[in-house]
Amino acid sequence: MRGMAVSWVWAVALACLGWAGASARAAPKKPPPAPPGMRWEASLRGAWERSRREGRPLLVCVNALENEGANIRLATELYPSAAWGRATRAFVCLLANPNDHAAPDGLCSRYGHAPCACHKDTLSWVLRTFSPSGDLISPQHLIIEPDGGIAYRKEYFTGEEGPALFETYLTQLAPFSAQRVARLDREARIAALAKAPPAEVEALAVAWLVEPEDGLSALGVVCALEDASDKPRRHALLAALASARPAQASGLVPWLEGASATPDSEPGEALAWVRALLRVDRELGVWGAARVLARTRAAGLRADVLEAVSGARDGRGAAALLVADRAALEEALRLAGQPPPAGLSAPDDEGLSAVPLARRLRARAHGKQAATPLPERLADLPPGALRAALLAATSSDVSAHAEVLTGVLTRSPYARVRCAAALALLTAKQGAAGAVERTLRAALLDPLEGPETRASAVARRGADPGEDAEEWTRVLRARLGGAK
Amino acid sequence: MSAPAAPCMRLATLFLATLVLLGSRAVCARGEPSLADLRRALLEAHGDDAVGRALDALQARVGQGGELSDLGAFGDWLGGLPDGRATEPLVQLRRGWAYVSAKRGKDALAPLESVLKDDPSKGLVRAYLGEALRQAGRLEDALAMLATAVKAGYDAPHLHESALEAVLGLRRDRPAREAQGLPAYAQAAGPFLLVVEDDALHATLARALLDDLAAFDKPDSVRGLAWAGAAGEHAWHVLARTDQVEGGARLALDAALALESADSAAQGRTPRFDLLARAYVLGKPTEREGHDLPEVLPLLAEAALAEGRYALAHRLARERLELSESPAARRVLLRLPPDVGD
Repeated sequence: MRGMAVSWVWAVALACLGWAGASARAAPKKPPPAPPGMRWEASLRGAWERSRREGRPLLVCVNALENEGANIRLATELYPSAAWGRATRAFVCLLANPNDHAAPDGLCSRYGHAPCACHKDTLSWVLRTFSPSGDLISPQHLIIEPDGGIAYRKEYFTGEEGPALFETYLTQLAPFSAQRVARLDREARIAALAKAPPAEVEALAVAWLVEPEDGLSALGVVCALEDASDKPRRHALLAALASARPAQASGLVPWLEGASATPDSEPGEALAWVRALLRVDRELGVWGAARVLARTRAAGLRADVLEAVSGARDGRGAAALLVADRAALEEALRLAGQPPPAGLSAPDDEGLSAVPLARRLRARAHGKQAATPLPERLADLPPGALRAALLAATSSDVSAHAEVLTGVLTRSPYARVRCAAALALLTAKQGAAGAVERTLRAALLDPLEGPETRASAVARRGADPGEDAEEWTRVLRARLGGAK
Repeated sequence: MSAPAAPCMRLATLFLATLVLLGSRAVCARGEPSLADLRRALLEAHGDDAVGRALDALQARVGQGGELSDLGAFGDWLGGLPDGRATEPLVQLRRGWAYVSAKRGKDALAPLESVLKDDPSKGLVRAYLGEALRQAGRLEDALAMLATAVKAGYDAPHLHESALEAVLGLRRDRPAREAQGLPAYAQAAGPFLLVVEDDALHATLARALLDDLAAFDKPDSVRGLAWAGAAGEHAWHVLARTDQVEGGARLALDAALALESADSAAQGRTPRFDLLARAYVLGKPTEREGHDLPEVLPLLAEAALAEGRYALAHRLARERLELSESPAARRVLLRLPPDVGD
């Protein structure tokens, strides 16, 4: 009996264990919930890697003085707070501090969930990069773009940094990440826009957009726009976007770009985007307007856009515009094959930061024969200009200067110039003792130069052998016709 | 780049392997002659071949205790030969080599210089002397001597290793921080590289200059421009010739970054564009999508934009944005003519 009882107890125990095991298999044990505050990266190198690969901005928090008021407040109140945690979730966050606070589990007891080695490495990097003298203000915050540019740097803490600022920078630097965050964190507000009667949508959206404490409002409205299918609601939301804060304007660029890429597919929305951006950030608005002007085939849309920018459908008000705006509109109209109206021209020595001279010349040459005589002193040209001159040269000019071009082909230190010289000589059926074929064979299959070189060679031949090296060799030899 | 084996070790291994083989044959054929027998054989030898064989037989005894405990002792022993035998070129050469192999370069100088005086055309002797000078701490002289060895028609891996060690030694002994213009190691390597193709040395110099630039200067100071320019030239020299450079994509990118100011001032007349292009190609993995150095793409797109290559700038910016978000790539798109792309 006793033995049976023991066996029974064991059977129950084993059954319980079996059940527990099955439960564990069915529902794996969840990790403990993440702490509400900022999540620090565990290694400096890993942080850079993640930032680049995932396109997340880096947020570097220098918190190196442990006995100073602002440093203490940031370390103990703000960094661990849910608000800062939520607003920085799409960033790659690094802390910079020189001291060891390792807990028995190897993690930092002061800042949490990362080893002290990382915040020490980060401080060394900040010192090396920004303060070689060793003098560094703490606290300070830096926001670094995924490709390494410094987007924001602020010494001391005066209350400027916080959720609104982080969200605004996220909007500017990583609009799609910001949009994803907005969709999660602003779900209720986005839903409210979807439910509101069309007549009230614009006012509701504007009310949200002007809230200074919400750095994600513009992309929240974009979420609502993407969810809306009826035109009145969409146009109301687009009209509301004109009230977005200028700091959020660059976050709207991907959507402006999409709307202006093929404006004739949704001309009303393209125009609405341009109008909205012209109000938020004039420069971006003009950029969008120029894209629509250059790409639309609809005279009506072109007139609407001109009116939105200049105040008059025929561009008569253009003379009053900034020179940069005039230069952009003039370029766009020329590219569209439409002569710019009187007053809509910019002097060639002004507004060059908006539309450089090379672009203006390109627009003026649009639709005309592009071949130009070779400049007299090729050797004096910088490589970019030399390359362009070689590619634009007429075949007769190339033949006349074959010896000079062969010298460029064989002696230029710049690969792109050699490639252009080979293409030019190919036009004139000059083989340069095999150098043209050798250079082009390499360039045609080069991951960088290949597509342009193939396009250029195809333009001279008519059919594209793609990446078939043997076929290209045959084509080049046929094209050169046995030329030496 | 892994640290090369000491050139003298390589020399010693090569020489000893041959001589041990020859020596063991001699012992087998004639029994075990005493050191005195071998000495007599050397003193009585006539003609280069006979002297050479006698020296080989002696050298086979090195490391077997007695007077010839190591190669340095062998060199000393040869120096004590009577009747003018010690000053004969073949003996001097073996003595110089023995000292170099024993890392007693200072002692090798006199015998090797003496051999060279006798016949300046000997590239091998110049290579030994270069290594001896390096061991003696005369690093710039070492590089100059090694260059003359190549000019005389001699080239071998140990010569390149000697040159690399000399450059690294100069970098240690004459820190770049104190240089007025180019660091001493870069200046001293110049004449050598004019006569020798040495990819490893070019890559080492490029990396060293970039590291020193990051540590001690800025790329837009007068000195920084010179360092960046030299780093770019060295990096491009090697990367234009071969893909087989460890960390080649990173080297190309770092050199291009350092050249930014110089390139802008020279309107593109530096290898910056080509270096970025190389970083782009080398950083493209063959077995998967993506890029090992995504930051190259917007930099190259910017460079393409500056040269009016709008289609290329657009393609690169788009390629970067397909990997992940990039404000730098977006800025390029904002500066393109309105009809380009999509």
